[in-house]
Amino acid sequence: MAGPAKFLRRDIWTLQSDDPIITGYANGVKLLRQRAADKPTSWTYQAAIHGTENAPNKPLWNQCQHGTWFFLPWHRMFLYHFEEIVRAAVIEAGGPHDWALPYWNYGLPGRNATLPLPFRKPKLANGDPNPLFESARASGINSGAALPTQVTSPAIALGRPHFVGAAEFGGGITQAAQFSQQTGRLENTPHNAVHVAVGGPTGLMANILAAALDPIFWLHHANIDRLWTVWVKNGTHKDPTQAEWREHTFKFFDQHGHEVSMKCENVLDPPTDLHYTYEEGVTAPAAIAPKAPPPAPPEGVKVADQIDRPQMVGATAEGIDLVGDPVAVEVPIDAAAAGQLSPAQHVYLNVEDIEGKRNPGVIYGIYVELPADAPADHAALDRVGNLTFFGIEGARSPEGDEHAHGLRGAMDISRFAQELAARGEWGGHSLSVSFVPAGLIPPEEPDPGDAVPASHEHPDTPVRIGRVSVFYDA
Amino acid sequence: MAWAARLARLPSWLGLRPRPPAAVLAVAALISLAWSVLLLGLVSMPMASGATPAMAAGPLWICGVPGGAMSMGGGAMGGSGGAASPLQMAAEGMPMWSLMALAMMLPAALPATSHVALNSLQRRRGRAVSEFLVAYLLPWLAFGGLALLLLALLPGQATVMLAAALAIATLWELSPAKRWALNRCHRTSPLPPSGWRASLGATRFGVLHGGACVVSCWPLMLVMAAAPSARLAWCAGLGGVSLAEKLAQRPRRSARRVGMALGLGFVAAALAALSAGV
Repeated sequence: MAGPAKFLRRDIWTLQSDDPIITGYANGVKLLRQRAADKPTSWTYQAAIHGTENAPNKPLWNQCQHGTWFFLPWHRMFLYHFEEIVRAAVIEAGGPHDWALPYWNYGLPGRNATLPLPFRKPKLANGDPNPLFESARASGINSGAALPTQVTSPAIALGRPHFVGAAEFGGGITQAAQFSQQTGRLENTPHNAVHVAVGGPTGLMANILAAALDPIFWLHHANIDRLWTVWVKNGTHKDPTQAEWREHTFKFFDQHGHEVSMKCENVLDPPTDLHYTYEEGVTAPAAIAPKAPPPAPPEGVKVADQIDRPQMVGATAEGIDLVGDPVAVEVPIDAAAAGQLSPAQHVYLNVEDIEGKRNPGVIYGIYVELPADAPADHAALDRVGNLTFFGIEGARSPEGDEHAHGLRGAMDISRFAQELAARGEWGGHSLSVSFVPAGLIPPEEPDPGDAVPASHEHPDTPVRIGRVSVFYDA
Repeated sequence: MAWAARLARLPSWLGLRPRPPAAVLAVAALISLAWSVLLLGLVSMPMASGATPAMAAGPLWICGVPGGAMSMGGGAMGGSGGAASPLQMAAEGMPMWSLMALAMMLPAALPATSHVALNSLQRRRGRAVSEFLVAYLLPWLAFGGLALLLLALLPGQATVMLAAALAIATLWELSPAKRWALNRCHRTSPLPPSGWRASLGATRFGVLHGGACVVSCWPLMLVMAAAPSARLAWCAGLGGVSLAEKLAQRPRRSARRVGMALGLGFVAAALAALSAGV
C-alpha cells in the first residue's frame, strides 16, 4: 500500500454550507459554465461525455456505460477526470489545493435522504444565482422531500456475492448477450432509482442525455463509487478477473483538455491508483445477505458461466401496463420444468421487454408473494428489487448510435422460491409478483410552490412490461 | 480491439458458447450444411458458356441456373436459349436463392435464435426456434422472389445492373433509414411460455426480426441478386458484412464504412461497364 491518499472525498451532510469544499464546488461549476462549450473542460462538454442530445457528436461525447459490467469502472474514471478539472478551477478561484468531490450519502435515515441544502435555493446569500441549484428536478426535491428507503438503500446490491451478472453487484458481460440489458444491482438501486427520484418525469437527472448537467449528479456518482469500495472491502467480494474487462480502455480529457486513456484494472484501488479515498466513520447500511450463501465456484470456473445458460421455468403469457398504480401478476411455474427445487438452486426473477416513450419518473418496488394485508408503508417490507426505467428513451431511440432494445432486469428470488417449495407451493403453482410505486416523502414544512405529488398520481407516460419470467441457473 | 480477439469472441457473441441449447446448435449445423451444398454446387454448376464474367449477358441468377441458360437483352448469349417468361426465370432462380438466404442470413439470426431458445421452456425450445426461423426466413424469400423477377424484367448488361445495385446499396447504407432499420434488428418481442400464445409469440418475433433485417439489408441482397459472377464470393462477403453490422457496437460507424466500401465497388463496376463499351 502506498501512503495516505492525497484527496479525501467527504460526506456533504457533515459539512457546513460555507465549507470551502462546497463554496469551492460552486465556484468551480460557475467557472466551468463560463468556458466555451466546445472546450473539453467546459461544463456542457463534460456532461456531453456522459450523454447529450446535441449533434453532431464531438470527440468522446456519449460515452457513458449503462446496463453493462463497465458501468462502475467507466463512471469512476469519468468522476476522476471531472474532479481534476474542477479542482484546477477551484484553485484558479482561490480555493483549497486539495479540493475533492463530496458525496451524497442518501442511504442513511433522516435528513441524509433529502437533497443537500446547498443545492436547494436558487440564490446565494449575497443574492447571486446559486450555481448548484437546478430547477429541473422532481417536484418537492428542492424543498426537502425525502427519498424513500426503497430508492436509497444499497442493501440488496451490497449483499450480492459476485460482481459479474445482471442479478449480481456490478452487471453482466454485455457483448456476450446481444438481447440483454445487463444492469447490475448497484446500478439499478440506488443508482438508477436515485436518478429517477431526483429527476422526476421531466428533470435533468432522470434523463441519461442530460443528467450530468445537474451539479448533484457528481455527488450522487461519488456515493455510487464509494459503495463499490464498500462492497470490495468485504473480504470475499472480488472484482472481475476476465482480461476483457480488466484490460478494457476508455478515453477522457484531463484538466488541460488533453485526451487521456485509462484501463479498468488501473482504477480498482482508488487510494493507490487515483490518490483519493472516502471519509471514514460513516457506516454503511447492512447488506441483505442471501439466505443460503451460494457455494463458491470451483477453481478455474468463471462465475459468469454459472448463469450463462439459464433455464426458464415460468413466464407470464401477457404483458403488463404500468400507469402509476400498484399492480400484481401471477407467474405460473411450470411443474415439469421446475421439478424438485434443490436447496442449492438459484432462482431469478426477470422483468423483460420494458418499453415506454419517456421515463414516467416513477420507481416501482418489486415484491414477491406480498401478503394481502401488507401495510400501506412498503418501506419495511422485503423487496426483491426496483423497476426504474432509467435509460428507457435510449432503448427505443432510432437515431442513437446504440442498438435499441427494451430494458430488462434480473434479481435473485432464491429465498422466496425455497420457502414456497418447502410449503409445496412451487412447481404447478403461481408466483405472485407485485409492482408498487415508491413516492417521495413530503417535508414537514412543504414549500407551497414545490409540492410533492401524491404517489398515486398517474404519470402521463405509461410503460409496458413485455413479460415477467422465472429462471433457474443451469 | 484486435481483430484476432474479436474473432475469438465471435462464438460467444453468436450464442454458440458456452453450452448452447441444442436448438441453436441445430441451426448452426443447418448453416454449415447450406455452405457445404453451395461449395460442392460450385463444382457441378455449369457457368454460362462463352461469357466472360464482365460480359455475362445477365445476372448469374438467370443465366447460370442449371438447365436455364437464358439471357437478358442481348449480349453474348443473346437469343440462343429460347424464350422463357420472366416469371419462369425468377422461379428457376428461387431454389438457389433460398439456399443462399440460409447461408447468408441465418448466421446473423443466431443471437436472436439463442434468445428464443433460452427464453422458452426447455421442452418447447426446438418448436419455438423452428417457428421463429420459418417466420424469419419468409420475408427473405418474398424479397428474393421480387428481386429476381425485377432482374428478369429489366433489360440490361450485367455490370450495369451490378453498378446500379451497388449505387442503391451505397446510398442506403449512408442514410438514416439504414440506421433506424439496423436498430430495429435488436428489438425483442415478448415470448409467452406455452400454448398457441407461445407459437404466436415466436412467429411474431420472427416476422419482426426478419422484416427488420430485410429492411436493413435489402440493398445488399439486391447486389447479391445482380452479381454477374463469383457468386459464392459475393455471398460470403455480403453475408459477412450483414453479420458484422449486426454485431457492431457502434452501428453508425459500421454502416458508414460499409457504405464507403460499396461506393468503391460501385466505382469499379461503373468503370468496368464503361470500358466494356456500354
